[in-house]
Amino acid sequence: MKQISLHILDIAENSVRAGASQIIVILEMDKTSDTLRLEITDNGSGMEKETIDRITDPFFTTRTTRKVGLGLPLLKHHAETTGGSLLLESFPGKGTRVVAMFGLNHVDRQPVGDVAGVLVNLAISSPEIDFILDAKSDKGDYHFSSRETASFFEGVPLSSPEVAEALKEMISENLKEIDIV
Amino acid sequence: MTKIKTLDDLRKLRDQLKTDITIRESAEHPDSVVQVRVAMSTCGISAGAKTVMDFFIAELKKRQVKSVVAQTGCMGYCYAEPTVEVRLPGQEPIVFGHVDTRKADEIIESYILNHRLVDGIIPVNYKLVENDNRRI
Repeated sequence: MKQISLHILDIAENSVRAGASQIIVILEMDKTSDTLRLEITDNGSGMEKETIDRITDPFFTTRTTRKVGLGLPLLKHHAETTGGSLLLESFPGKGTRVVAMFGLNHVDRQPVGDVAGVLVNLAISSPEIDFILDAKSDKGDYHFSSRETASFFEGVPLSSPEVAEALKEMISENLKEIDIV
Repeated sequence: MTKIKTLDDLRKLRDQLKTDITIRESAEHPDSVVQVRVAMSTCGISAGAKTVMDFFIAELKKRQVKSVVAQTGCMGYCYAEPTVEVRLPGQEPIVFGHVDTRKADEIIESYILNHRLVDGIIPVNYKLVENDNRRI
């Protein structure tokens, strides 16, 4: 994983499999405390305590197609490398919250990467899910919701190449504006 | 062109597309277009699946191939990531492994456009994950 955006893609994919109808991604850049906070919250199936206890064990997965599960262990590793941490909260039937704290100016902190592309691709692949992005920095904040956007387009699917391209541009321009790149 | 920043900036595009898409959609059925699914789990993503997906989207649009490009989860072929499933209209899906942008270009050129198979196909007994009835 060379970018934080790829972690978003990876963790959000878990939420999709957990049957979530809403996935909220929060990116918060705080220069005062020198942190970059990534939070992904879903309203999917959630997990039992036993599962959470083992979730950052790379040799634990609920899948049957393979025997390893590296998504969360990798995110934890990357967060901790930058002096940060990973926090997990989950309630069966209610949903899951994953919070990763990164050291903002730490030399090992991955670049944020193509968050716009990741979000739009997720929204296209699961049009029934509302993907929400809340980005915040000292320069301002930006909010995006795929469901709001889809209703704005009144029946024109987000998957049409012209729309997808325009949306990626819109999100990345707004993120650039508040210095989240 | 001015940069798109708000939904308002997209209004014109929306209105223009609304007419285009109705015409397009009435002629199309999901099964009548090429379906490309890129496996995007930890294994796929870290092997470069996002670059491959972006390439398919851009390239199929450029070559004006009627297609849907979407992402799926891990199919268990982690050793061969990035993997891509291609379903041509009316045919069984085929999964290609170790797909980088060069391979993706070859898949579009040979398989999607000219129906010629290319190297790197994953097992013939492949079945979709959702109706998994493989015999082991």
